[in-house]
Amino acid sequence: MLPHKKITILVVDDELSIREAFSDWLKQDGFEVETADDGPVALAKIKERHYDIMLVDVKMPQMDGITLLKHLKENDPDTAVVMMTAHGAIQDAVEAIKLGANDYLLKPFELEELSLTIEKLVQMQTLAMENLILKDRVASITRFENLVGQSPPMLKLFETIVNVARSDATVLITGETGTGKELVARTIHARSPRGYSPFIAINCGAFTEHLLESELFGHERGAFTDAKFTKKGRLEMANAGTLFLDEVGDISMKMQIDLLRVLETHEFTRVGGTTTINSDFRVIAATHQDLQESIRRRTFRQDLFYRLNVIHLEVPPLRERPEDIPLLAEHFLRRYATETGKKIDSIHPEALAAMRRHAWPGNIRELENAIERAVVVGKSRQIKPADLPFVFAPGGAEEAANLSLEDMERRHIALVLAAEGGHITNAAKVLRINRNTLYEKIKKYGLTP
Amino acid sequence: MSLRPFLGLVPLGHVDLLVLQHLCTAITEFLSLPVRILPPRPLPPHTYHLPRNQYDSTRLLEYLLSESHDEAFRVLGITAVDLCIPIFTFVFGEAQLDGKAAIISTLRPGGGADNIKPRQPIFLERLVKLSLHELGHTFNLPHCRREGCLMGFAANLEILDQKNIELCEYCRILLADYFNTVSDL
Repeated sequence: MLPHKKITILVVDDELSIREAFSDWLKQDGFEVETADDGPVALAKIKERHYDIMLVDVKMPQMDGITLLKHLKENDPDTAVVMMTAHGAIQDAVEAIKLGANDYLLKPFELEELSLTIEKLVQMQTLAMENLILKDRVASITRFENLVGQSPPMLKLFETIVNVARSDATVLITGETGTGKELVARTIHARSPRGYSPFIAINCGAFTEHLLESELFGHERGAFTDAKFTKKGRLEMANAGTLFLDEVGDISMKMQIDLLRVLETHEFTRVGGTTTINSDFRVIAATHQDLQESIRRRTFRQDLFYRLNVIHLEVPPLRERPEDIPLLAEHFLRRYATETGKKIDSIHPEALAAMRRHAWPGNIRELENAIERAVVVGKSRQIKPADLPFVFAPGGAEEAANLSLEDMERRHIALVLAAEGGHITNAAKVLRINRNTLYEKIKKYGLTP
Repeated sequence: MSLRPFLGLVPLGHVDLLVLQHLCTAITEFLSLPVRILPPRPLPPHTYHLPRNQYDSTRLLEYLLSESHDEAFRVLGITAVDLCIPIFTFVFGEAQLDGKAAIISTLRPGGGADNIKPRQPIFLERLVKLSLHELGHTFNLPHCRREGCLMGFAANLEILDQKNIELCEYCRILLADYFNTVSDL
């Protein structure tokens, strides 16, 4: 099997030897595996983070697998569940399937059985993820906008962009989540000689290795089970234009080898194909990760880093350019007032002051979201402090000014989760981050969805 | 005695000397590393699983590690008995990912489960594939999906026979990277 970097599996079984056997075996297949020795422990874990797949033993002392399954389907219905039972207890498996389990295994099983079961679920999860990505893509098309800012760090960034755009060199953009790295990449492309050719973006972190390979290189008809048609990859589509590799730090070690080769030669073959394809594209990559640290941890190749980091641009976080906040707020107000048809045309000075005091852990994306919400909930022609979600929080903006960045982020996520009734997908949409990032933050801050 | 670290083959219970010598040559050739056949060790009774009439490969791995083979940077246990782990009806072998020890069984590759005895060259080729596959795990190579790659997962003998005794280009690079980062190899 491929190293499914993004697929996380939780094994729930009261027997240590079973947990260890699963853990060792699935890690060899490249999965991220965690274990729990009973239902309550598993419940605590699923409240902290999302798992793509759970393997659950039916017979456990404190809470049986069927009860755990019921809780799981209420809390995190997106998780695929495989129930495990001893031979002779098939009725448990039947009940589990009725309650929403995706599959079952009778212990001990043949090597092939586990492999096929997991593979089927991985494909299911991949399709679900693909669906989300497509929705994200549609949303980004309708929200494309130019960079906004007048602060010294942004003016310096604009100047660098103008210079960088003239060259054809590879660019690495770093910066926190929500700072607008893709917008910077689009601006470089638009101002470059390749500006009239395609800008092809791909979020490398959102795909499994197999899917990313097919997305980047394309595939020939019949290359794998679902390859019913020949499909061009993003590398091919970016011919004469710019290829934007977002979250490049999330690419698996194997794909890094492929990518390095293609960046050196600009030649590749489609999956299942034999013909060498040439494509003339410029590469702009982006990541919120510290790639130097990834190199130290041996999760990112140094040679690929040097290949990408020809020109480095750092997009400053919003808290380092508070003077841009009113400008951005006005910009988003105009957009959302137009979109919603509401007659809101100004921001109350106190609301602006509260915005300046706010830490904006989610950066521009969070500000945009705050304004969008304010426009939707606002009842007058002016955005008031009470219309802003973070001011609405207990303690208000005055108290918020004394909080640490992490406290503010925690509070904001908690507020959005509460507003969305604990619905992860909706909360992730409001926060404009992907679900996995939200799950990670929920786990980090010990929040309950 | 050479001071250079080596990869040790440890027979667990009785193992045919021809098998050991063949693996010694094949692994040396493939990995370009010194390989030695170490003294045999008895199969410890606590690793036997009476209800299944098989040996617990994880416990055998632990036993292998507890035996001091300080000079060996990797140890490969070879046994003629059938191996299992709690979740699987059987395993061909087991290894520690990025660890020191691995183990393989000669029983099923030799037709011991279905009484279809292969010709000797096929039997030996299967053992070489299994040994290198499990040792690959100890060098931090996970399972690979590239067709024919030695690190591909083989659920049965048919799939094992379809594999080549070679790594795909990706696994070769990752193995070379691994060797480059480990100074004592």
